[in-house]
Amino acid sequence: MIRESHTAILERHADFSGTHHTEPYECAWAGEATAFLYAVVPCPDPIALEVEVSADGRRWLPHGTSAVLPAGAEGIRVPISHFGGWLRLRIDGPDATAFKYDLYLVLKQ
Amino acid sequence: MNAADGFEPLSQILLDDDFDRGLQGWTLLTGNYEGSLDTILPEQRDFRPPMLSNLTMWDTGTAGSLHGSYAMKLATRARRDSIAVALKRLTFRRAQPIRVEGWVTSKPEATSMTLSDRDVRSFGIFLDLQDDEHRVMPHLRFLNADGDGPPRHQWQYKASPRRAQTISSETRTHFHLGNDQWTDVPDGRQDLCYNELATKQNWHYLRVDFDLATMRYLEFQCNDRVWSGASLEPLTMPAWPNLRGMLNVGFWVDANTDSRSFLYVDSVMLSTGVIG
Repeated sequence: MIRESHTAILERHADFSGTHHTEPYECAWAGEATAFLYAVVPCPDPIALEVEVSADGRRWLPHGTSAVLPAGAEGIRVPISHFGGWLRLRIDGPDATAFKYDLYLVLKQ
Repeated sequence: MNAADGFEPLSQILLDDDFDRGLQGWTLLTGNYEGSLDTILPEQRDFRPPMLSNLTMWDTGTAGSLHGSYAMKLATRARRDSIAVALKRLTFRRAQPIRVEGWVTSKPEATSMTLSDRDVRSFGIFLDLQDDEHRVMPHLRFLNADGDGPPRHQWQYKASPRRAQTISSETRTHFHLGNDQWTDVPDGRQDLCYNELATKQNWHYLRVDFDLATMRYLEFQCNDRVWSGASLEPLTMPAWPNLRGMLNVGFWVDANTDSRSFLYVDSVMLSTGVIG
């Protein structure tokens, strides 16, 4: 049996607008996840990413995985495991709308 | 097909999608574009994608779906007018009746311990079809609530398309899921079981019969109510470039408040054949 996989596009050309969270995504079926953040318009400041998880889709906790997109970088991948039923990312970016990103969540059974 | 699915398909089954087997081709809808994503109509830039849910609730744990563990879930942003939509794309072989059946349930996000029964504006099902002469898009929605008024609980269809925007000589686009230009289905009020809490899900049976030969509705059913298609109109427009033979099926949900609205689809069956 081939392993189930799915790529979800959580953001497309979204703004790095201050501190914000991506939309919750249910992934209880998946055994591993990798978040791919692509800077469509690279940001001159570093962007901090923190993975957050939830058992109920309502109350969120830090997963313990974090990463920093260096200033001007084109993108970053963030591998995640043992995440329960829901995933989202907290993104700390500058309060400006000139810098945009795409966020893909690649899930595998 | 699982005999326990409770579907009543026509003679030839084209799709038998149970989301215990993954999303199976049901995907995010995006507005058309050419050259740049900036050419997507603003209303169509942020449709939210489908996901697989095992219907886990904060107060009762995992419920699972109707026929297994997983359902396809559509979730809006926590923002009024946000839309989540998923569709599956194929083409048709014979211009004859088709039947789409599904088991669905819709709820708002359980962010507060209130009934929240007017947070979901509507959920619906649409087809996107094209023959030699016309593009035809039957749209049916259950209008749950709109604005601050009382619940509506009204089935509606959409017959008038917004004018299409031309992107290039080969590409057009139009926004067909907006909260405008809906017409009440005659005698189309129906109180669906909401069941007291945002965390209790009761599944509802939906059926749409549509004739690809005449491009007319035949019949529509939700649970114990059946409506004739005679008085329903699909969106109809002259054929668009490069869509001949298209047969798409989609579901969507939209938010009436700044809370997330959800639509869950347990399973979908598409069949074709002669009715009666």
